[in-house]
Amino acid sequence: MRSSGHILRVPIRLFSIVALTLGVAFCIAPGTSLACKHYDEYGFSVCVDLESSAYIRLPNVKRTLFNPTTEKFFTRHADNLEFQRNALHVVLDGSPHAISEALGFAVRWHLELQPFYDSTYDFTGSGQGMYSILGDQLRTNINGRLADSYDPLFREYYLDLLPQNFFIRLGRQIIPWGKSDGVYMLDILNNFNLVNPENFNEQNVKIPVWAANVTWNATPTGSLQMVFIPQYFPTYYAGLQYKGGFPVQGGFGDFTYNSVAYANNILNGEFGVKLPTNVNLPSTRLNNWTYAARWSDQIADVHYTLNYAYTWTSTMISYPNTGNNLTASAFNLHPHRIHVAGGSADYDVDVGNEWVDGTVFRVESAVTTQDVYYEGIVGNPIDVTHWGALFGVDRIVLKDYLDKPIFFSFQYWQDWVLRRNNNCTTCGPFANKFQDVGFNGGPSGMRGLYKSLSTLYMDKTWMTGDILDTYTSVVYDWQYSDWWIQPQATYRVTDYTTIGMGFNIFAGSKQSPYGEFTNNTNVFFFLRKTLL
Amino acid sequence: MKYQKTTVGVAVLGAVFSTMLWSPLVQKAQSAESSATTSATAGASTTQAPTMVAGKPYSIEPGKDPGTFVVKWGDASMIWKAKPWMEPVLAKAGPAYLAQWSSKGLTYPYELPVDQRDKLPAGQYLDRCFAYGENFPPDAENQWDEAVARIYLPDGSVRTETDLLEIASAFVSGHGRQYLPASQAAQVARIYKWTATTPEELRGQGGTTTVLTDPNLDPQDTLYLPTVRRTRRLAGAVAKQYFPGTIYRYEDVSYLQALPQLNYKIIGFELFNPPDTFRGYGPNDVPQNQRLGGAGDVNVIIEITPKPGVSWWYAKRIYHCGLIDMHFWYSEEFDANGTMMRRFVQMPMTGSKLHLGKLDGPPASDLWTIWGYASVQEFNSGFVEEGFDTTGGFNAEVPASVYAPVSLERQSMTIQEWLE
Repeated sequence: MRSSGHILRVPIRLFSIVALTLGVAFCIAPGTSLACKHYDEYGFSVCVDLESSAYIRLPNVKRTLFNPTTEKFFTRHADNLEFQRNALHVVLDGSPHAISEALGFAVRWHLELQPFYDSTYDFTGSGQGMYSILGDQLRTNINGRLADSYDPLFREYYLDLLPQNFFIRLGRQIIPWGKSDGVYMLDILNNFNLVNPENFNEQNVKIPVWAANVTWNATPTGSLQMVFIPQYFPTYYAGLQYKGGFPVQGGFGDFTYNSVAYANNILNGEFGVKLPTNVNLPSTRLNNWTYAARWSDQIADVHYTLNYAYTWTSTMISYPNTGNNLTASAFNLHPHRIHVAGGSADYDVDVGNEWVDGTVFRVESAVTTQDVYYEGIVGNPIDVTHWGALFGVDRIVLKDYLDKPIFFSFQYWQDWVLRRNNNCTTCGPFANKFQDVGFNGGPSGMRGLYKSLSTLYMDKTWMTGDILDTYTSVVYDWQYSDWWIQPQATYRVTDYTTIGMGFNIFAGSKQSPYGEFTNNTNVFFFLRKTLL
Repeated sequence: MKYQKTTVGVAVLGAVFSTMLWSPLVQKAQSAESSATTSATAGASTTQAPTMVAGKPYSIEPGKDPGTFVVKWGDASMIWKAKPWMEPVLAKAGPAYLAQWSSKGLTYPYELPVDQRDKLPAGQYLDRCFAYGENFPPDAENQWDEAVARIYLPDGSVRTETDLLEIASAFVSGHGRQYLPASQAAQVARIYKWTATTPEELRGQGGTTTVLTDPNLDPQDTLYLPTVRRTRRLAGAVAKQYFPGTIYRYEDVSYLQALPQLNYKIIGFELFNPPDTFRGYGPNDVPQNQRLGGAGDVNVIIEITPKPGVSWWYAKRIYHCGLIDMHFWYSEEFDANGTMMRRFVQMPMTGSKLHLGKLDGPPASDLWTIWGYASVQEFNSGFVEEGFDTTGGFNAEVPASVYAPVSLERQSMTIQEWLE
C-alpha cells in the first residue's frame, strides 16, 4: 500500500509530461504554415495534427480490487491520472487522375494513420502504471498488440469510386447511421472503443471496419445504401483483455464497468475456482458477414431513413458451458447474431409562425431481435427482442437576446424488452430483471423490462469568428436516477492551435451506469495542434 | 449532353452578344479626342449606357486623364478611375461596361428596361440584385466556387482564415430542376451548399440552405459535423445569426431575399462614388481577386427596418443596389442610436474570369456573375472580414444528388472532389 507521499509525485510528473508535450507541439509546428500540404503534381495532399489530452481524477479515493495472481482483494489509492494520451493524426487524400480517366469516373483514395501513446502506463509505482498488464495492450498501437482491434494505427483507408449515380467506398471506414446523439440504436455498424468512454468525438472512438459500402443515388434526394462487412470488431472496453483464457484484470482500468469487473473477478477465482474462457471471434466466412441496407429520402419536409442490419451483438457474450452460470466450469465468449430493423426521421418546423418555426424534431426507432441480456442475479445470457425509440427536439434559443444564441437539444430514449425467455428458472432472484453495466452483485444494478434516459445538450459560441465554443452535455438515467454531466470549453488560439478543458461529473448510486464512476469524476485538458 | 450543348451555345451567344455590346463603347470611351461620348446623345444603340436613370439624365464621358471617365447623373458627378483589382474588361471599358446588364432581351433579373427599374417594390431589389443578380445566375444549372475568408483583428493582422467550397443552384428560370425531386420543383427557389476545408477545427464542416419560393417561410438548413460524420437538420438558423466561424450573417450569405420579418422602403437614389475606405474598393484590396466595382452606377437606396415587435441585429439597414447592372453593391447597418455598426460590401466576378463546366473550362458569359468579393467592417469591434473567390464557374457536371444531405458525408477537400 503506497503512502500518501508517493502520490505527490504524480501531479508533478504529470505537469512535466503535459508541459513537455505542449512545448514540443508549439516548437515543432511552424507559425504560419498553411493547413495541409498539397502535392498537386502527384495528386495528393497530407494533413498532420497532434492531439494531446489528460484526464485528472478529482476525488482522492481508494479502490478495492481483486488480484488475479494472488486471488485476493487489496485496497490501493486510485491514481489521479486517468489518461494522458498523445495521438498524431496523419491524413492523406489523393485523386489518381490517370485511373479516373481510364475508368471514366472519379476515383479517390484516403489513408488515415493515428499512432497514439498513453503515458498513463508509464507512471510506474503509482497509477495505472502499477498494472503493467494494462500498458502492454493499452499504452500504444504501434507495438503490434491488440490495438488494431480497437484503435488501429492505420485507422481508415479506402477507395472511393464515383461512377454515375453511385458512391462506392471500399476499405476500412466508419459508417454512421441514425439521427440520435449519444444513443445508438441504428448506429451499429461500427462498435466503440470504450477504454475512455467520455470521448464524444465519435470519429476517433468508433472502431473502423472493413466494408464494401455502396450507395445508389436513385433520385436527387433518395439513396439506397448497401453495406457488407466481413469482419466483426466487438465493442472494446477495459476488462475485455484475455490472456491464457483468463481476464487480465478485474477492475484495474479506471473505466472498467462494474459488471465486467464483477464477472472477471469470478473467472479469476474470487470464489476459489478459476474458470477459463474460450474466446471466439466469428471468422470472415460469408455467413458471418454483416449485411446492412438503408434507404434515405425525404417526403415533403421530412427527411427519413429506413434501416436494416443483420449483424452481431455489439459486445461479446459470455456463455456458460453448462448453460447456467452457477454450474459452469468454463465459458465461451463470442457474439450472437442479431437483426436490427428500424428507421429515423427529422422535421424542421417551418409554418410561418415564429414561435415554432426553426424547431427540429427527430425520431429514431429500432427493433432488435436475438439480442442477449444477462437475466437475474445469476446473470444467465438470455435471448431478447427489444424496441428502442428516441424522440429529440432541437432549437436555437435566446436568439432575440444574444448575438450568438444557444443551441439547445433534448432527447428522450427508451428501451423496452418485448420478448424474452419468460420462465428463466435458473436465473435466480430478480429473474424479470437484467444486469446493467453497473451491476456488482446486487439488485440495485439491474434494470427492468423498460429503461429510459434523457440527454440535454447546450452549445454556445463566443467572440468574433466563434473561436470560443462552450457546451454542456447532461445524461440522466430515469430508472437509476444517476447523472453524467460534461461541460467543456474550446478556444481556438490560432488557426493551428486549439486548447480546451472540461469536466466529467458522475453522480448516482454505486451500481448505476453512471453513478459507478462517481469516483472517476475528473477535469480534462486537451491541445490540438496542426503540424502540416 | 444535350443540355450541355445548349448551355454552351447560350454561353457562346452571350459572349458574342456582350462583345458586340461593349466593343463600340470601349472604342468610344478610349477616344479622348473624340467628340463622341458614351451617352445617348451620340445616337448610340440601346446597348449603350442609358441616358436616363431614375428620372435624371445620365452620361459617361472620357475624363481628362487617360483611362478615366466623368460620370454625370442629374446634378451629381464623379470621376471614374480604374483600380488594380478590376477585371481587365471593366478597367478598359470604364463604367459603360456595366450597361450590358441593361441590354434588351436579357432574362430575369435584367429583363426590365432601365427606366422601369426604379419603380419596383422595395423588397424585390433584394431578389433581383442580391440573390439572382449577383449570387445565383438564373440561367445557369449551377454555380460553384472556392473561396477564402479572413477575419482581421483591429490591428490589421489576420486572426483566422477559412477556406470554403460552395455550389448553388437557382430554379426560378427552370434551370437546375434535375437537382430537385419533382414534388419540390415548385416549392424551392434556390439551394446553396458549402463546406470548409481549413482550418483543422472547421475542416469537413458543411451545410446546405434551401430557400423556398414562399417568402413567408424561412429557409431550411442542414449541417454536417465531421466529429460524428452525420448531417443534421440545423434548428432554426435565422437570417440575423452569424454564419459559422465568420462575421458574415446568414443574411449576407444565403438568406438573400426579402425577409418576412423586415420592412423595405425606397428612400432615394445616388450616383455611386465609393471611397477607397470602402473595404474592397481600395487600390490594395485583394488585387489578385479580379472583380467588378459599381462606381458610376446609379443606386436605388432602400431602408430596411425590423417590423414592430421583431428583434433584429440592426435597427436600420441602408441597402444600395445598382439600377444599371442590377447588382447589390453595399449596405450599412445602424443601431438604435443611429450609429453605424457595420458596412457590408460585395463585388461580383463575371463569367469572363470564371469557368464553364470544368475547373479549366472556357470562360462563361460576361453576363453571368457570382459573388467575387465580400467584406464586412464591424465598426464597434474593429474586426473586418474579407472573403473572395480564388476560382469558380458554372454548369459543372455534377450528379443530380449533389444537394442531397448524404453528399456532405464524402468530406470533399478540394474543388475537384467537390464537383465530382
